[in-house]
Amino acid sequence: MKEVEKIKVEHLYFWYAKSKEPALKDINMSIYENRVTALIGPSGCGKTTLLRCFNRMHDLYPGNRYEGKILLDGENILDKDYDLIKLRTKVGMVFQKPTPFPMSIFDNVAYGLKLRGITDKTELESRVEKALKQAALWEEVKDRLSQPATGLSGGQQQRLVIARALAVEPEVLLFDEPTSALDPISTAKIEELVVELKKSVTILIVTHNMQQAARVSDYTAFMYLGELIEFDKTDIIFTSPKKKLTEDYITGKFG
Amino acid sequence: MLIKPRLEEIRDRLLEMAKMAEVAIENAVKAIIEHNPEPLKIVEELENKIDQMEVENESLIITTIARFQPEAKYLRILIMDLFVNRDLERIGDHAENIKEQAEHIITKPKLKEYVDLPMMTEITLSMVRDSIKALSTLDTDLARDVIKRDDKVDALHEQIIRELYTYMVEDPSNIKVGIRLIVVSSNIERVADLATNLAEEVIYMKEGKMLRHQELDKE
Amino acid sequence: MIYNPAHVKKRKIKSYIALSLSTVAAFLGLFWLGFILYDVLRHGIQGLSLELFLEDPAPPGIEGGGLRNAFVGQLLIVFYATIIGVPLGLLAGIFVAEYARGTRFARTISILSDIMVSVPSIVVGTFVYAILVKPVGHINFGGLVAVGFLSAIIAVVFGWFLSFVLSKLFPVKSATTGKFIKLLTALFTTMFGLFIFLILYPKLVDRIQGFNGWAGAVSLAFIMIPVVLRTTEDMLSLVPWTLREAAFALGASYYNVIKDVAIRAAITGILTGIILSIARVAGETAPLLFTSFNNSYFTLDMNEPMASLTVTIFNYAMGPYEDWHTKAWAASLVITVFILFITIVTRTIIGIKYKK
Repeated sequence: MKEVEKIKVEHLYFWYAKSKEPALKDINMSIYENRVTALIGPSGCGKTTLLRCFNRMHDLYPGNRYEGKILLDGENILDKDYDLIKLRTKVGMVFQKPTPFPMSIFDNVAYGLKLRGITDKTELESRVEKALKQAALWEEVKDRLSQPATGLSGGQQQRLVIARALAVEPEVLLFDEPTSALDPISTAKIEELVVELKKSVTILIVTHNMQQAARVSDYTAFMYLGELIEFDKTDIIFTSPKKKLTEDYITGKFG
Repeated sequence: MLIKPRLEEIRDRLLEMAKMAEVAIENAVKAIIEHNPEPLKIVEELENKIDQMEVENESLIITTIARFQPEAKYLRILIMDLFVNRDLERIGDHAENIKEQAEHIITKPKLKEYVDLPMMTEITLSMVRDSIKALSTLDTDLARDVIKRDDKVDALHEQIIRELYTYMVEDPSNIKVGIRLIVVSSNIERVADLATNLAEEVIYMKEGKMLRHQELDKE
Repeated sequence: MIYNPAHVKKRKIKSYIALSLSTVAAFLGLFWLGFILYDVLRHGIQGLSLELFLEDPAPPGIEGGGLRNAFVGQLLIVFYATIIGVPLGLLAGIFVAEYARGTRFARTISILSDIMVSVPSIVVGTFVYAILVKPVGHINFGGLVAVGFLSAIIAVVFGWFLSFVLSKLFPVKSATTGKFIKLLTALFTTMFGLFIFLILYPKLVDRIQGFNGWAGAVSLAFIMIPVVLRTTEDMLSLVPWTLREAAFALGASYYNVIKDVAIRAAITGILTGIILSIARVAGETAPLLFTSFNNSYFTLDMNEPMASLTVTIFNYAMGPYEDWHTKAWAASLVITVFILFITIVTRTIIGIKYKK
C-alpha cells in the first residue's frame, strides 16, 4: 500500500477563548489519502477539538486561537487569509446527532450545491442522486425526495447528512462520533459506509467507541489530556501499542 | 459486516497455504518412490513460503481478533483459523523432514518396490485435500469422513513397520535405509493426524463441537 | 417491605383534597369565561346588523347608523401596527438570538423587552402621545420623529440592497477587504439616509399634527415589538446549535444559516408569536385613547384622528343612549370573535406542526 499524505499537522496548539491552558498541545501527525484515521481517547482528551480544527469550526466562536500549522495539500488552512468557504468545500463534516435541515430530503442534499451557485435543475438532480447513492440511501428515499427530511429514521437521517456532505464532492470528510445516537444496526450500516467511502475521500473519525475505531480505521491516534500520545497503524495500536498509556486505555484500565 | 472481507482474506490465504503443504508432501514422497532427487527441489522452496505465510497469517488473525472482537461463529472461525494455520505449517515441517530422509534414501539402492507407502501417502494426501475442501465449504460430513480415514493410515503405518522389520532382520545392511523409511512413514502418519485435526477444527467452526481426543462414534 | 397503610391513606386523602381544589378552581375560571362569552353573545347579537358594518354613526341621540368608521379604522391601525411592529420585532429578535447571541447587550435587550411586555399599555400610549402627538414648543416633534423613522427605513433597505449588489459584483476575497467594504457600505448608507431625511422633512413634516392614526399604529407597534422579539428569540434559541454548525460546515454564511436553517426550523413558533401579538394589540384601548383618539366620521387618512373599535366601545358604553350601549355590545362581540378566530388559527398551525 502506497501512502500519500493528505494532511500534515505540525506543532498544533489550540486555546479556547478565556482559557490559558491549551486544549491541544503540540500535535504532530499525518493523515493519509483514502485512509480512515480514527481519533480515540477518554472524554475531554481533545479529540473533537482536534477534529474541529480541520474545518476551522472553532472560528465560529470569538476568542479561540490556533498556533502551528495544518497543511492540506501543502497549504496552511490555519492561515488567516485561507478562504473558509473553500476549506469547508474541501473538508465536509458529519456531526454526532443527525442534523437534517427543516426542508425536504432533496433540498437537504442540494443545499450545499445551491450555496455554491448551482441552480440548473437537471444538474442538481443528478448530483443529489449520485450523493444519495454514495451514502447508500437512494433506494430508501427515491420515491419521497420531496418529503421533509425530519420524517426519516435516525440512521437514515445520518446517512442523509453524509449524502449532503458528499454532494459538494469534498476531499476530506470529518466524522464527529457519527453513531453515538444510533442503534446497533444503523451503526453497522454507517461503519460499512465509512469503509466504502474511503475509496473516494480521506476520512477522519472521532469516536468514543474504541471497537468502532478498531473496526473502521486504518490509522489510529490516541489522545490524552490534549496531547497526541501515540499515532500508528490501527493493527499495531490494537495489538502492540508502544506506549503504556495507550495499552492501558485500550485494555480498559481507564477512560 | 466489516469483518467478513477479513475472514475471506484469511480463508483464501489458508487455502493457498494448504495447497502448498499438500504439494510439498506429495513431492517429498514422490522422490522416494521414484528414486529420483528431482521433485525435492520444489519442497525446500515451498517450505520457506509456508513458514513465511504462517507468520503473516498469524498476525493477520490476531489483528482481526483485536480489531473486530468477534463473538460466537466469528470467534470460533478465527481461533480455528489460528489452529489451521499452525497445523498447515506443521505439515510443511513434515514435508521438510521427509525430504531430509529422502535425500539419504535415494543415495542407496532401492530396498524394495514400494506398495504400502504410496497407498498410505495417497490416503494421507486425500485426507489433507478433503479437510481443506471441508474448510473452504465448511462441509462437516466430509470432515467426519476424513477423521474416519485416519484409522486406515494408522494401520498401514503398522504394516510398513512390520514389513521393514522383517527386511532388517533378514539383512542388517538394510537397517540404514529401513530406519529412514520408518521415519518417513511416521512423518506421513503425523501428517494424517494433522489432517484429522484440520477436520476436527472444521467441525468446531461450523457446529461448535469439540471432537478432539474423542472417538467419532461416541458423538 | 416498608409499607405503612395508615401513611398511604393519609397521602391519598391529601391527594384527593389537592385534586378537588384544583378542579374547583379550574371550573370557576371556566365558568366566568363562559359567562362573559355568553353575556357578550347575548347582548351583542341584538345589535348585529348589516348597517353596523356598512354605515357611519348617526349624530348623538339619533337612532340608527353603524360603526363602519371604527371597523375600518381598527383594521387600518392594526394593519399599520403590524407592518411597523412585526419586521422590527422580528429583526431585533434575530439580532438578539443570533448575531448578538450570548453577549451582555443581547441579554440587556431581552430583559428590557420582558419589562416592556409587562408595562401597562396606557404608559405606552402616553409615551407615544408625548413624542408623536403633543407639539413641543414650535417644533412639530411628531412630524420630525415620523420623517426620521421613514428615512431610516428607506436607508436600511437601500443599504441592504447595496451590500447585496456589492457582494454579487465583488465576491469578498479576504476578511480585511470584507471589513473595509462593510464599513464603506455603512458610511454610504448613513449619508443616504440623511439625504433622504433632508428631502422629505420639508415636504412631510406638517402632515402630522395633533391626534392621528399613525400615532395609534405606532403605539400598538410598540406593544407588539417586545412580544414578537421575545418569541422570535425564544424560538430561535430552541433550534439546536448543531443544526447551525452543520450549515456552517457546508460553507454557509451566517446570513444563509439564519435564513435557510434557523428561521425555517423556528418558523411555526415565530408565526404563532406574530399572530398572538396581533391578537393582543387588537384588543387594546388605552394606547389608542390619546394617540389616534376617535373620529365620528369615516376616514382612510392615517394623518387624521381615527376611530377604532375599542375606543368606540369605551365611549359608547359610557354614553347616555341605549342605542349606543347596544352598539357597544355588538362591537364587543365582533372583536371577541375576531380575536378568538385568530387564536384558533394559531392553535391549528401549532397542531399541524406537531402532528408531523
